[in-house]
Amino acid sequence: MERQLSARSRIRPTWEGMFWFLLAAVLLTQGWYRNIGLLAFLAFFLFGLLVLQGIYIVCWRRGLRYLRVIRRLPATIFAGTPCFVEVELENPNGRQLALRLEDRCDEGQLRWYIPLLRRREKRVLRQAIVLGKRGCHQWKEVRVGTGFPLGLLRRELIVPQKEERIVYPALGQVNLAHLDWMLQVQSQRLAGVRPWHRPWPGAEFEFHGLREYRSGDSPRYVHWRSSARVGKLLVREMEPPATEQVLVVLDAWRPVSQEPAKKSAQLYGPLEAAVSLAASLLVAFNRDPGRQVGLVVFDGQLNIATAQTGTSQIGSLLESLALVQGYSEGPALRWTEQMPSELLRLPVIWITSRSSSQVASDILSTVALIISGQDISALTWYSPPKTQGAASHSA
Amino acid sequence: MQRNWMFSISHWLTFTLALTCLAVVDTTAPIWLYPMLCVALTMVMAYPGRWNLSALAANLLGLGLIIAWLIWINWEFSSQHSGGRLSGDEGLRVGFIRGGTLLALLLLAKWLRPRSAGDYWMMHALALVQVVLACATLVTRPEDLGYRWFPFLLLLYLASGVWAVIVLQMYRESASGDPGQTAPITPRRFWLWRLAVGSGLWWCSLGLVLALILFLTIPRLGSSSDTSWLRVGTLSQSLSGISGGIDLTVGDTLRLSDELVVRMDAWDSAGNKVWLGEDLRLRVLTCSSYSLGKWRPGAQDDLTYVPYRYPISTNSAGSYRLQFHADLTKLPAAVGLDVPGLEQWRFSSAYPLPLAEPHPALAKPRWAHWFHADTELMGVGVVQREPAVWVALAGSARILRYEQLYDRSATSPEGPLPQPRTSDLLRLPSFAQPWFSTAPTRDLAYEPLDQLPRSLRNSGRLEKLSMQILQRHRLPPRPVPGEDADQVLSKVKVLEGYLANNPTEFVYALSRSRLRHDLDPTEEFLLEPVTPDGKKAGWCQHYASALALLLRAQQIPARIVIGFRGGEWNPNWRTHEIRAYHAHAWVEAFIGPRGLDGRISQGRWLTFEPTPSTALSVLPIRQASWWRMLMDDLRFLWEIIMLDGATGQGFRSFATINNLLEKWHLADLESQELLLALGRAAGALALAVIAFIVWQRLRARRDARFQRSDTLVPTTEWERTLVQWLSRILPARPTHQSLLEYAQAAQNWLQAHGCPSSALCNLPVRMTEAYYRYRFAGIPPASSELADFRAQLSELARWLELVQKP
Repeated sequence: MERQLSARSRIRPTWEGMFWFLLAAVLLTQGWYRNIGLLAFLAFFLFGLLVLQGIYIVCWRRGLRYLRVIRRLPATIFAGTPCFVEVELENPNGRQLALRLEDRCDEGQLRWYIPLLRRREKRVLRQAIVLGKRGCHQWKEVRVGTGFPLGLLRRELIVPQKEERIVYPALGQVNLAHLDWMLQVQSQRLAGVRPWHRPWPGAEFEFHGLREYRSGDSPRYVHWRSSARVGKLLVREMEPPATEQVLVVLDAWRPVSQEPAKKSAQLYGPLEAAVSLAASLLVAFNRDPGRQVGLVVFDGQLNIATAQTGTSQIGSLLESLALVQGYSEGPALRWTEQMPSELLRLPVIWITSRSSSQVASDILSTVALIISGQDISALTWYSPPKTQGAASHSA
Repeated sequence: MQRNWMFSISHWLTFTLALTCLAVVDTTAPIWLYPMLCVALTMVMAYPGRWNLSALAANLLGLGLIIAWLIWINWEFSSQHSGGRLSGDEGLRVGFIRGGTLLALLLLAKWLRPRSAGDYWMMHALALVQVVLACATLVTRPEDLGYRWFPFLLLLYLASGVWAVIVLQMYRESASGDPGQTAPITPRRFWLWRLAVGSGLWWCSLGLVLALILFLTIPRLGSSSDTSWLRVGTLSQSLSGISGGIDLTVGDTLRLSDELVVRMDAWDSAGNKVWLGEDLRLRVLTCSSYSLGKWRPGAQDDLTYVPYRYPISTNSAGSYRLQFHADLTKLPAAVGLDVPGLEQWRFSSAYPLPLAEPHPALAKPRWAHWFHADTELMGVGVVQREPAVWVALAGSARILRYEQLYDRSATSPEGPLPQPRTSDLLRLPSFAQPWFSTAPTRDLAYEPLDQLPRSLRNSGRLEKLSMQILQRHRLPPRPVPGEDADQVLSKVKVLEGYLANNPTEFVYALSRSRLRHDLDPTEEFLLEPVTPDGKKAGWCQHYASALALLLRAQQIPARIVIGFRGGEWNPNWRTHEIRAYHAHAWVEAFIGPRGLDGRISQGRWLTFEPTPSTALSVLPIRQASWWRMLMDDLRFLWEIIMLDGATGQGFRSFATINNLLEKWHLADLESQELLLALGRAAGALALAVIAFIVWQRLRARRDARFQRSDTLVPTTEWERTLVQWLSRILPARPTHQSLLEYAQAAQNWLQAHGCPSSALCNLPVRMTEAYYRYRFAGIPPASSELADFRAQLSELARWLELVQKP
């Protein structure tokens, strides 16, 4: 059998055990000194159970050190979204165990209680956890302990399984169709041309396909010709016209305040909202394969990354968003000078944690969509995550 | 904290048993108090959802209960003090146990609104303190009627308490885990019940064993201060088990139970426990006066002693030590003497109780020693020549422990009488002092021992019968003045033989009916046949009464002795056990030369046995069952060791280990034998360890096999075999094709190529379905189905060998 390497264990009394010991000592003093047989016997019974618990706990080490504990974390974790943590527990030894298992990370701990882990039994424990903060999270050791049978003493095996995971920012809900429409309108405003034509007057979306009529569908979208051919009502499904390339720029500015109490709520709130919006946009774009998405993060310095949607490349963009720390001092972003020229031609969604009055004029003239920190909650095409207020910087 | 049935029941049982322990020892509480509390606990357990009090309401309720309790106890104390029912110590004890009631009320109030596991721990502590109060009260008042049930209640409480604590621990751990994971901790899962209950019993048993070992081996300080409120004795006014003597007129059947009366240990000079033989006689009372079928106890002057009849080898020198543990409540003749002019009951138990007497071959005891400071035994004194122990005050007189040491080297029987020492008179009550005076304390008008009672003397039937018996043996039918002791003895022997060795006229029976109520019961026994074959029947009391009266008819002093004859050897403790069915009555006659006035004034008291020997041989007809012996052992342990901690000196040292060695017969062994025994024990232990290791290995191998078979189930082998065979007739199974589709294709091929039977055709499909059932539903195929598959597979293989592969 293979031992769990470098695991250490410790024994500690619980407060119930200390209370038990105290009570037994008082009884023993009375029964022993006054020679009252019944009290002495009761005290010896209490002490006997305490001793047996100790013997069990000490001998339990043998069953404990062969325990195999493997933790499995999900590949992608978003802040504010439940993710499942799995711990596989195998008892290769020949004795039954009653266990309490604790898995700790930076933001809390998961606990499981297994009343009976039979010998040579393997059990996979799964529990959901919601991490409120984005950034680099560290999972610490896994603690397997028992207080069986009476809980007077506890023994814990500390299995070092340190792992790091980058928790992506919390996601809100993005109405991509609406966003695409706004991008088109703004691009049209900037370029002065119509990049695409309407298939029929009043239509804003492109034809996608036919489907069977459902209750609530507008009769205007019934495709009568196909309906007559098939014999049942079919309606047209439309989809918004896709913008093939888009650039998301995040200006991760945060104000400076001398009051530490306002640190998390007021200083980091707009920044987190901006980061969350950027991540939500990236994830929403990623659901529509075939686009080229660029991400520019100005976090005191300019970080530029691009990815093809529908692929795993988007993960690197989210990682960079997860690790944004924000800047409050340093050189300002000179947009037209620092950005590559080819990126300047793309439709740009400018997300900043500044207020709208602080946005430079050159940006206003070149960017399709500017979203300032105070406007995020008022966006019609975006619902921020519910835990947005509680989320704070943890990078 | 999630509460469910297992949780609630375990806690309810523990709290209720703690309350019951308190109720058993509290005889002064109102009758409604404890049942009401038990009902309240049960209601809280049964309807936990209805008692979700707010914190304020719960606190107010607890406060109200405390105030109500204070008012109640104040009222009770004032009323009982004014009624004179509570003395100081008694009042203290009552107040003490009322404290237990208050704890019960607080426990109830807490159980109405428990918020965390800590609250349950607090409730358990309250329950434990209640039990402790009950134990302390019981120690001070062991004569309470309920004490017999107390050990069982205590054991039940301990077991249920351990169970509840285990359940509490499980819930505490599970409640701190994922709420979704607490779902399995429901009492609907039988294995969880089994785990919790089984663990409770197992750990409680281990704890009890360990506690017993610690209790028996660790010496206690043994402070027995009388000033302590815990050691205050009580004077009980009620004591049962009174018998004024043998009453032949009451009852037609002698019923003898198998209750343990006396447990006696006997050591020889080497300190080994010895078996004294079956003819052990234990005397508890001498009855001297007879009136209308009723024998009354003899006067103090009659207390001469009839020895044990146990075999003592003459070459065994040194001392003998006898130790008695007599249950006085089972010795009816030992208590309850009605002494006019003295306070009844109180003094009766102080009557000297000669239990053990020396063998004639032995000298008088050099000294008598009692070695414990029990409150029941008020002292040891010397009555006439022998040590005798009297029990003062029956209040807590329950077990009489008494030890005598006989020294054979002291051969002077007429040495100076040892006087009672001051140290022997520890706490001797004032009313017991007269027993140390030599003057008789009673002036009862007993019949002379050598004359018949007046009623029998007038009828003359017994005199006539005795004369007829003696004439039959050519002996003088009337007392002859001046006859010597041998002639007297020969007359006694003849009369004894008439009763004991006369099967044509007498038969021993434990039941008989009275036919002639106009006759004295003893006359009726001697003169009236009661059996269908014309024999006279009776038990030992009839025989002894008859002989005593026949001897008195011949003016030979005689009296009845009540005691026990025989005994059992308890191999567990290596002690003599004398039970109620060993009770016996026999006769003592004063044998000596008759004076010229026709009276025997000098001589010796000798023992005679008128009961037929055939009956005596079958007297110990019953052997106590193992269950009875076990219960007696437990009772012995409980009463002597647990309750009478002050008297358990013998168990209070590491000598307990020696006792255990004795019990296992190791102490009797020589050193080589001991080494041999130890070697055997070590060998047995080594064998056990080897067997355990082998068993573990076999189990591990079986488990490993099971694990392998779990992943590679037999059906997987069939699958492989099946695919192997089917690949001979079909193209190799593509990866996208499921096994069932592959089997269906094989079935089609078999049907197309003229497979001889439909069973063979659909064999692949059937096997695949069985495989799926096992693999995904966990339903293993039946053994008959497996055998069928194997047979058909081999048949299919043979057929395929005949058919060319396409």
